[in-house]
Amino acid sequence: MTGDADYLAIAICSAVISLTLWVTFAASRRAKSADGFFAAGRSISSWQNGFAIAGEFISAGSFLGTTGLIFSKGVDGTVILFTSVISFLPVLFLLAEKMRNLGKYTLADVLVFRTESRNVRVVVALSTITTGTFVLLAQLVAAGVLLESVSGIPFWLSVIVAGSLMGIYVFVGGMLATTWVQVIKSSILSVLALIVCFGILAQFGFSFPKVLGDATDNAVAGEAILSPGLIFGETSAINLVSYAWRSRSAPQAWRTSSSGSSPSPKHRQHDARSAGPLHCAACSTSSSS
Amino acid sequence: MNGTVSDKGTFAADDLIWSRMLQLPEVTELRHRRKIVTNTLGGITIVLFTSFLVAWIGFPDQLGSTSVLGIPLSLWVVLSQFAGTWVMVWAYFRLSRTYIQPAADAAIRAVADNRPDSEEVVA
Repeated sequence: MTGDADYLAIAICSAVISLTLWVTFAASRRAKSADGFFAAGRSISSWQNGFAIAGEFISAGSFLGTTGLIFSKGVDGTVILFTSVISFLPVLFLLAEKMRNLGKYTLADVLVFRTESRNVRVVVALSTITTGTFVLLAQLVAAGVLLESVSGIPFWLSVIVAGSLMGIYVFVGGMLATTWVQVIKSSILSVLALIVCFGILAQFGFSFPKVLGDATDNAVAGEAILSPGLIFGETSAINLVSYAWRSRSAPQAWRTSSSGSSPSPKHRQHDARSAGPLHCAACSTSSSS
Repeated sequence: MNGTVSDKGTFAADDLIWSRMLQLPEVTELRHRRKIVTNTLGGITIVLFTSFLVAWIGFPDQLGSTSVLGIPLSLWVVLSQFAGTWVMVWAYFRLSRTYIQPAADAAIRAVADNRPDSEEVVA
């Protein structure tokens, strides 16, 4: 042990982990095929998918980190929030529906299907691994720090525990389990956010301007937190543009496209490989249900 | 899917089938509708996001010092991005159901009706 253990926090943490593990193993019994594992058997409803996508957006980083960033650096901190949300739009307009209609599970599957090149799969796999490595590094460090502070176990052990849980969720439960884990997570965070929001507003007579006034009085930067520029003003506008244009929503797009409700019955009658481009064109023109 | 590979990286036979499909009026109509929806909503999204960038870069002091209903303009700009995104998603799904889907159904029927026997797919 490296610190004092918070037994209430450990109990809550254990309860959430137990619940999500139970969901994972329950889901694993339903995933009998590739379609079941990678796309949850196309059984996820739009509401479930919406909550799951929200769960990926409402991470610990956005719930705690961005809140602190906004308090410290002002409204520039909100850019990280809504650029993620807006980046969802081009993915929705240009990619998600076509991905789903093609009946493929991953971006690599789609590109290989369209180009019929094995080299493309290798390049996409390397790209995914490279990107995933950096994303996982940040996630594992954050999870490790959190577990360490809650349970008091060493950091390296926290990282192993968190990494093992991630692996179990994905490898055992597939898309169905990860979707339900995200639904549980987003539900918990949404309820907590509402409680915190209600509590804070109640402290200030349900007046948002009063909340802002008190925040500016106590913030290090004072009233400057209400004006843009504390982060991007110190560097240049180019930084804001380049930062804002980056997209975080690719995993959500793949979730949207691959695990959503089924294409039309007519679509399912086709065999994509044997139909070739005829199938491809016909199905890519069918719209989401 | 045999045959020579064209400059586009696709098979010549596939290109032939695809070009024949494009001649169907139902498919043309579907592509037209898709293009209208994507271009319109995509254009509005670009305007929405550009308005944020212009406001953020060009008028930082005004955004912080001007308030509407006791809330600084900077926060209203942020809120507009969230609300705008919600409206775009809602509009896309509504148009997808009411405007694109009928054309998609017609296009699928037309493709199936015009499919030569040699191209029948396995059910």
